[in-house]
Amino acid sequence: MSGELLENGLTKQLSNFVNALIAISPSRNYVTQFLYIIKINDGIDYKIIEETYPEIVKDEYVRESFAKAFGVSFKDKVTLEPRKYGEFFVNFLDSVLQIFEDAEFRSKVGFFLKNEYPQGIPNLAQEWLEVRLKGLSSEPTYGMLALKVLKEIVRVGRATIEELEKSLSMGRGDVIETTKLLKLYGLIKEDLYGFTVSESLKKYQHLLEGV
Amino acid sequence: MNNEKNLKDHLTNLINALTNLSPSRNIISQLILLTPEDQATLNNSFPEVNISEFREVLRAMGIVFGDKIECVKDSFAETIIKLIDKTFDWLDDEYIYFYFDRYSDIRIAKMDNVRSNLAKLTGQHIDLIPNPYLEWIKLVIEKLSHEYGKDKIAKILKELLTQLPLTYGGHYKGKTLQESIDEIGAKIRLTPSELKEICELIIYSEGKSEHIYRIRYGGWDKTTEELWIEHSRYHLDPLLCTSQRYIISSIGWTNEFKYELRHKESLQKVLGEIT
Repeated sequence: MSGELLENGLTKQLSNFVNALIAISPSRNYVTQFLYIIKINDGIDYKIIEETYPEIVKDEYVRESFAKAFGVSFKDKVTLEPRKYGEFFVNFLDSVLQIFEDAEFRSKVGFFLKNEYPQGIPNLAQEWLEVRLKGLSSEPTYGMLALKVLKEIVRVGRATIEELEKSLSMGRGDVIETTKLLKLYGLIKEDLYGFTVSESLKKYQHLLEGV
Repeated sequence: MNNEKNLKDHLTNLINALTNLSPSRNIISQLILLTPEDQATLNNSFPEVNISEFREVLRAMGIVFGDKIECVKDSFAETIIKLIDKTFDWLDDEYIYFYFDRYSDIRIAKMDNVRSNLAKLTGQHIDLIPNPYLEWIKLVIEKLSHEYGKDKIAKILKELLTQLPLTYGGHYKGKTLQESIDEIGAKIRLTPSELKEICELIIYSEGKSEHIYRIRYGGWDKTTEELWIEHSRYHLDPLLCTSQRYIISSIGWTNEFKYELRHKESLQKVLGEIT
């Protein structure tokens, strides 16, 4: 086989491989996103996930088939059942986001796929964060308020509920609801001393300015 | 957050993407799956490896090039191999997992209605749900049939299907796995080297077991139970092994082994097609 033919064939194969990995990213696939959101929250209240992903949770027939196919437990808290495929798959997604965050990997793959991706191979970790920020800002009830709280946590680095109430002149109920939403989207984390920004947002803080 | 298209489309896209990552559809997955392998052998099967820019892509995924081409531990390439193995099992209703029952005893189970549930969710007939394992075993059997003869490969599959499950050691006086495989080889008149090669390629490969669990019971005999999947070079992995270590008063410690056949239906389908 001539060098050119070999390279053309390889480009097709690589395109198929890379596109499959991109297609399963939580930023591009609703099912993946549902499973990954459960993972990053270590389980979610049934009511919250039902509101966020009604297509999967509302209908009993769909919910049960989904539970059996992926290994998801729908109780008061929705969790991924240990050692089943859903749990394995979301851990695999961590590796996908990680490798697409690697600029060296993207540029080496981009060498072959420059026609298909003239802007470069997407950084899926960044894209996933963009999707979450966009999703947050379009939440009808607390979306805009949650963004305000998020920006404040980014500004001060760490904040408790009381500090947020005071600095943003917000009611306690609103602060509690907005921080719940921010935790659901994996944008902040909570420890004994208050809320801090998630690792992914720390890396791409500039994205927050565009929201 | 992202529900523009409907659930069926997203699920179909996900299944298709996972299928496209399987070795029957993609030479990159195939190449990664077949590592570790001699540089010369892989260069011969995959001339693409000689393209230096492609080597760079493989290096970025954690493949190293020495006398052998292999995956770095915990690299992305190694994760791809695990994904392929697990997706083979998942979409062939063979995904094994363990759990603890209400008495905290360990139990083993299989996710065995995956295909029918995916068919319900996507609104497709079950036969239209891709089966990457079945696609891959067909390719492997076709390749081996060219190399060793269709007849021999068909007979090996047939013998596997009839001889398993098998139990030996402990209270059982049956043949060991190796004795059974030697017997198959003798029946089919394979040379010892042919038998060893075929066994490594499609049945099991020494040192490639995937350990699933080990549990110690605290009774007077301190039984230990272990479970593992045997991997073969081509990742057809038809053997599931359970071993139990316990005391028989007359002889002391003893190990009992049970080998069961995985992917039975797919093996039968392939056998039906080649015969």
